Amino acid sequence: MKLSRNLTDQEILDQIKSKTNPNQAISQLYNQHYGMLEHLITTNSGLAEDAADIIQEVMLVFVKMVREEKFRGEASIKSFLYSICKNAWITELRKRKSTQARHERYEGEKDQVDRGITEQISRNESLKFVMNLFDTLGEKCKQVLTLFYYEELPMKEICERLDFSSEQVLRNKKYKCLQALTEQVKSSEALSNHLQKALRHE
Amino acid sequence: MNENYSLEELEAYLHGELPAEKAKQLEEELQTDAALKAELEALKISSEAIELAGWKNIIQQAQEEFLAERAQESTIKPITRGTVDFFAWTKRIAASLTVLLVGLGAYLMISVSPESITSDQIEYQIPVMRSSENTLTAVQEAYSQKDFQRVIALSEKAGTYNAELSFLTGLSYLEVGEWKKAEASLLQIEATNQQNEAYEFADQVDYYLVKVYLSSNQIDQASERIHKILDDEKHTYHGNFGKMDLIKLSILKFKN
Repeated sequence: MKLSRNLTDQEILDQIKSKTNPNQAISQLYNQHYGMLEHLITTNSGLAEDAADIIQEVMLVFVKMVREEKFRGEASIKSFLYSICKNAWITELRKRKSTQARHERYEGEKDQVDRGITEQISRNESLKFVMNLFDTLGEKCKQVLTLFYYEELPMKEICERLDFSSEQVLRNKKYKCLQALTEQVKSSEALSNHLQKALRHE
Repeated sequence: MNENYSLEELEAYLHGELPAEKAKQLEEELQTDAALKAELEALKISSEAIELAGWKNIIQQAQEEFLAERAQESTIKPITRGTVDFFAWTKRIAASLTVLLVGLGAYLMISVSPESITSDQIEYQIPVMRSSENTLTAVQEAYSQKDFQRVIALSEKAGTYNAELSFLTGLSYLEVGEWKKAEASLLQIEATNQQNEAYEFADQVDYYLVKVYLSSNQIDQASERIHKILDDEKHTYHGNFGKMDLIKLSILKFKN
């Protein structure tokens, strides 16, 4: 039973932008739009499982674009999510079938919004790769970096939460963790290739 | 790892927090130092990925909860598929319309009566012309005063046929509920008109016969007259009936 009212599009954008109660905003996006996005995929040669995977990507792209103010509510969230989903699914189909002809034709038809979306989808592909590298770090490292980069907490608070003896010890830990990740990123040939491809808009 | 800049300095640069002079120097070096550029890009994408990993957790959790809730709903109600299901909504709308139509049908079945078809029509008024005010016949005067029995009595005494007299007599019989006599008076006008190729009170006869037939529950005859009026665009009473009246007639036939 839902007791709270639905958020407006603007409220959802504000909550994502400011990270204020983001769970509520994301849950509402799922409740309101999952069916539509799933329908788009399942009626275009996709399975429900494909839809689940793609929709997760769609949400990540959406959040990233809202956070970076590449989407400020110029269109409705519904139509924007639809555009991301359509582009993400076409990208996925292209990967699966290597339908170059279709790709080229589609590229020609893209409007400005679609171009912004495909660029973000491509960037998210690289980010996904780095997220997997991040996942391989130790638990303490992940906690420190998450509290710093996602929660955006001040060093003092992270220090208290994770029981570090001093801020300097925490700073050193954060430095080492971040360095471990960036070193992996730099040495990853696959990522480097992907970034190069993305730069060439392939 | 480059020798000139720490990760913290590069981070400060990415956030626009590096002192201007140092930032300018860094930018110059970035033009030529590919390793430094790679370092900066690695740092940028790493911090972005860490933040996005936080969002991914929230998104994954929301998706799991949503799908679990939906699966639970579909076990309880196997017909519904999702929150935004076109077919489900179509069915809901269709069901609502059916309820509305059934309700409207039931309302019409109960409320439609022969009188309801002509209830909002204006009653016949004897045309009053300046010159005729003083020359109203006794019948006209009685009718104007709604003394319908007097109209009938005067009419019975009158020896010769007069279309207006027959018409007012027909209306008076209608008012007092003597349908057969009302019908006879009005039909007499129609018959005489046919005989004389005249058109006296022809439209009024059609209309008031509808009233007579509806009042006496002769629905088929009423229907015939209404169709005659509707088929003739120039008929005086053409605009007095519409499709709704034909529906009401069908209901009345069904009720009979």
